[in-house]
Amino acid sequence: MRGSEFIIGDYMNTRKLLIGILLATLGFLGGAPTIQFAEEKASSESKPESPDVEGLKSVRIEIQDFKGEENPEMDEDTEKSLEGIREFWKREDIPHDSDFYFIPFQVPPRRDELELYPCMDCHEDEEINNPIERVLEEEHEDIKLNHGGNRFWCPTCHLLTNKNFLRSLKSKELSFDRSYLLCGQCHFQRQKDWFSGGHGKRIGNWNGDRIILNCTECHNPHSPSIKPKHPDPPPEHHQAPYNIVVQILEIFR
Amino acid sequence: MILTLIGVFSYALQMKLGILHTTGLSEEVAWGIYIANFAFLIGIAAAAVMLVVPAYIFSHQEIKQVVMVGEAMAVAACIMAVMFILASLGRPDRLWHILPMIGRLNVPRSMLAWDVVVINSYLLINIIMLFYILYRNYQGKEPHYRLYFVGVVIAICLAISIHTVTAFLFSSNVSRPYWHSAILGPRFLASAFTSGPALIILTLQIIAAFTAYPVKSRVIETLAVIMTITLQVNMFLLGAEMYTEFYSQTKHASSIQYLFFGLHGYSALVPWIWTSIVLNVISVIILSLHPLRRNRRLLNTACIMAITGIWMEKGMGLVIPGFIPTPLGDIVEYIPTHYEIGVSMGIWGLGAIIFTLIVKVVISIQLGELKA
Amino acid sequence: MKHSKHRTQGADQHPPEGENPSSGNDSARGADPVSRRRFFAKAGAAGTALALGATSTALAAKAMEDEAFQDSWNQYFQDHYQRMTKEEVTEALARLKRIAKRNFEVDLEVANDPPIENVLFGYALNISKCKGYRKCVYACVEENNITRKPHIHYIRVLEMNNGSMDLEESDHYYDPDSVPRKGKFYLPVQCHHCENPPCVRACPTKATWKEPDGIVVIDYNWCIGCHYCVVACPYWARHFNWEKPNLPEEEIVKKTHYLGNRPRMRGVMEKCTFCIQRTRKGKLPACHEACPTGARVFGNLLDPNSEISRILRDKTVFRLKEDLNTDPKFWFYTD
Repeated sequence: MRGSEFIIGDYMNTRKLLIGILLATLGFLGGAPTIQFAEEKASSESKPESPDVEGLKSVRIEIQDFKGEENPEMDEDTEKSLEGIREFWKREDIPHDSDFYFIPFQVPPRRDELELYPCMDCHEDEEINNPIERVLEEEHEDIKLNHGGNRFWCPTCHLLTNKNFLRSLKSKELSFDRSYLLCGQCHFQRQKDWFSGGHGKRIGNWNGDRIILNCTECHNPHSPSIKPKHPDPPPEHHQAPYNIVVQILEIFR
Repeated sequence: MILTLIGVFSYALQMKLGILHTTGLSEEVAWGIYIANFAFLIGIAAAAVMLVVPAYIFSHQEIKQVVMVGEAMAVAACIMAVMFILASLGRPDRLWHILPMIGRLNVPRSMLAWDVVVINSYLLINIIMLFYILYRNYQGKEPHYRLYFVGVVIAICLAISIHTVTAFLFSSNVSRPYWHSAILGPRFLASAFTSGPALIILTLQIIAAFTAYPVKSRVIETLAVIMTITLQVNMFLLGAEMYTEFYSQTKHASSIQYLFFGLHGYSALVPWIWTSIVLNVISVIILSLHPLRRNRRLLNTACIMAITGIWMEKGMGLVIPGFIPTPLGDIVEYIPTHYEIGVSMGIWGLGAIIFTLIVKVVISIQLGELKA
Repeated sequence: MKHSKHRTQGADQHPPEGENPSSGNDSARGADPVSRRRFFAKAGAAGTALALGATSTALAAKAMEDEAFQDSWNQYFQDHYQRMTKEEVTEALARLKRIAKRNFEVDLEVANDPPIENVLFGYALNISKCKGYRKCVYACVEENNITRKPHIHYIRVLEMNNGSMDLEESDHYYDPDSVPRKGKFYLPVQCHHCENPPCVRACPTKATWKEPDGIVVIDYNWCIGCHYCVVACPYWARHFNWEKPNLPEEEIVKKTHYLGNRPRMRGVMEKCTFCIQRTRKGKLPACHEACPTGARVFGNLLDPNSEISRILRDKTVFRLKEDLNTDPKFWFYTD
């Protein structure tokens, strides 16, 4: 009895204070979220749009149209900065070991899968080193070279002296089964990834023999970039088959 | 009285059998109306016994008569909570897996396992206390003070713990930023101590109206005062949470954004929560103003509003936004199907039946009509 | 309780009696019509009870001999995988084979390969190479005998906006004419097999745990379907069988593992297991095999010369939700 009297008595004295606090809380509850909401709406409208990728043009160097270099105009600051960089990278030929390590691997052979192999069956008696760029015909009509801008043509990769092989930059023979050695001459960075597992596809086992696919299993060497494809279907929502509450709510909506 | 009304709804329980999981739940929203009701009922169960505190700690004599009703409510609410959990299980037939020795109970890591332990202990202690006191009264003797005091202390400790453990059940999940805040525990306690006394005020008046059980108005007033304070605290905590989230609106606040204002066009719960807020606010105004609180009809209205408001906010308003958006940013809304609503009503009905039965026994024994 | 209720209601009508009126007073009253009725009622009740008892015993006896019933019965009382003895495990595997034969008419091979020594599995995914084809998603569904309807996908490919890691802005349901779409990148998310998994902490029955080789597995016969692991997982990796799994018989993969892709039942959780049935035999997971661009790398984190170790050393890698300290074993890297 005494306890409750005490509580109620206290209440009588601080009634106004409590009401004041209550009203303040109400004001807060009402005002603050609305303000935040308005701010959020405003900021979302001023968000920058994503860059227009379509607008970027692809660059193809037309070597025939190359007119010659013009020296860039540089002010003092730019000159200083160029000097600084050249100073930093002073050309010193110091040999160093690279810690390059590659994981042993095997590549499934491709040579015998090629339709038109062996090439020398047709190209046996042919004039070699014909420097004139010509249009491919007959068996090779469907090949469109889309690799390297306009800087490559067939003898860049194919060895003219023995067309059963590919050509290294030193004009040595490279087997079709080891065509990755050819790709890696230019794409050495990618090849490093491929050797160490960061690029390319491994099949079979994760332990034991490492079997990885050759570059040409995925990339058509004449047109290597990956084309867009249609994806597999998206997931569906699992909904209860018969939701009467939703149906009733729909009436009111 | 309640018995006849709700008995009809128990039939809805039958709908669950054989139609397992024709619910509105989805991969994204894993817990729905069952766990929502569970969270609310745990609060009621805890608060019902916490009223015992004034009786035994402050020796407030009138509250003693409420103790039995409170215990009855705690037992009924506990049983309902357990049944709601059962209703939401995928394999309730494998329930023995959760037993400590025969099954495998994951204490101390799993909060759900702790919840199982404390809720069952709480239920057990309440049932023991209830039966012990009633039996002694039935025999016409007074219960041994020492025994029931110990029991009461254990019950109070367990009451706080079931509530805290249920709050930790939600707040321990790092993957749900809406729940992962320290304030969830205090919010649970505050809302429980509002809805518990509110429900008891209403049931005491019903008991006073339909039986010869004496209910002093002092009791109702004390309960109303307790309720007022806790409802104000609850509103303050809610305000604190809203401020913290809405001030800088990080991505962690997406759930509360969804709840109060809708997110990316999805706004199914917005009218729900604002109704709850309005109900709570009106209720707290009525309760805070003494002349309004003294008016019995207004008090009852305030109680009903507070209970409804808290049920909405602590039930669906707590559980569902925790799943929207999903940890991967997807939004899938949840609306309970009529099966779920039916089962929920059935369990509430069953709880009401249990409560009514116990209370009838309590009353008859206390009134001395039933003696050995 | 019921008796006392009647008493209080009828307190005004009868004087309270000392004994319960319905307990064994018949003999004292002799051949009363009331007592005869009671006697026949009792006899009828007893007779029905006897009859029921007899039929149920007969049915039980017949059922005990039925293999299907025995299998279900024994499977129900099966202990937790980690507590079963070797014999119990062998028994459980044989049981699963029989059940599969009955349900799907297929000869299943249910293995129980233990983890390989000195192996901790790790997975890396090159988001520069992922184009969003979703081949991994469907290969996984097929390999793991996952229900087709309602469907479950262990892998969810998110289409994210370039320049942002905001998962909320991602599109889960992209379906354009061709992928990759400009201005987007693709992030497939599956179970990350965390070293500090929240789902393992959450499970109340310890039905999910982390194996020594790092794979987080579920004992499907122990899970009670409470969904707490779904709540706890930050990567949305846990999935639930809402209905009885719908498996087309001709597509069932026969090489299964107890903790992996054996056919599950309604009401239990399942998730990606790094294709435990394949990887513990040294093979690559199904998603890895299916990826056309070779964006996925799988291997042993404890082997310093494995591909995954090299990627973690040399590449720019990141993990999702690192701040939650789940220590996942699924990394994303770029070229």
